[in-house]
Amino acid sequence: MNLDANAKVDLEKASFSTTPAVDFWLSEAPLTTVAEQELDRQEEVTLLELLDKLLTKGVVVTGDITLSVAGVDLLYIGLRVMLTTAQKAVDVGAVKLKNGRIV
Amino acid sequence: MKLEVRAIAWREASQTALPAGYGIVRAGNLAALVEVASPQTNLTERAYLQRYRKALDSWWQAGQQTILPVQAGASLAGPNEVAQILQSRAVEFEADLSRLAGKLELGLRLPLANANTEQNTQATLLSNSKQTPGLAYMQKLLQRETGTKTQLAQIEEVILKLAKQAIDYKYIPPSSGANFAQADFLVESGNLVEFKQNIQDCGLPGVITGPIPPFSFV
Repeated sequence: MNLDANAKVDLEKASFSTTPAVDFWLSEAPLTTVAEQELDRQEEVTLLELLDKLLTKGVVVTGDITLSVAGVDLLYIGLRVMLTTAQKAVDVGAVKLKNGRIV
Repeated sequence: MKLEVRAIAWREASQTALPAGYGIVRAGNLAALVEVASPQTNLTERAYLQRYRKALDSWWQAGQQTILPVQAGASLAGPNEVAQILQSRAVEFEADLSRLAGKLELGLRLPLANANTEQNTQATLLSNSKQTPGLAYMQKLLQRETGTKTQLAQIEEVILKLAKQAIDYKYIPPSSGANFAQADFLVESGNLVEFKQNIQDCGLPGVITGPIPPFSFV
């Protein structure tokens, strides 16, 4: 009985300390692969749509923010990550506004 | 090296044609599309967005592969931390990848006719000399609210009709003062052309967005 209990504890410790086998590959493409180019209206819409989705939808993975995002009104909520647009935060009730200010 | 997770897929996901700054972390049955995070990253920069789209397209292959897009905002300490997340949430990610296999997202964005009427209200108020400003304002406000409600009822009716032909849909009624209403539909990739035609046949003056990976359904 005791032996079984010890074995269970050891297994739990082992599963915590085990680092998963990681296979990491990084693209070696030159930074200039995608050149800035003239876009037609449809492509601009597609890019804006992607930006909107990237900011407000998708799987949420916790982590630490290092991004600086210029020109977009973003909020950082909580100790771990929930980064969202201000309007989205108001819509989902994460923050409340009073006289146009977050309270 | 800080890494930002951009999408999750099965381990076999292709690593060809990924742009600079992107890479793949594999652990167990899963793989994560990652980007090297930098304090200089500016999500709103066109060149950056083009790289992001290229990376996403390369992985997604126009719906031929199933991917789970990841919301912006979280960077992790390195490949080991990314791998640990893949491992600790493997059951959830694998279930989502199975559920969303062969499916893609289409959006319908509908402009609201009564959007931006604050200025219109002011203009009417100034030009209407027969009414007191207060009464004119209240009447205009009532007209606007009634018009918006009627339009939204029409939009919601069409969205519900389209939703019956989709696997799933997301629609959040627009907040007061919004410029457009947005609905997102999850459809089988084989039904894409037919569903697009259904949207066009619905008669609403909207813009179809996508197809894109199922951002709204993960």
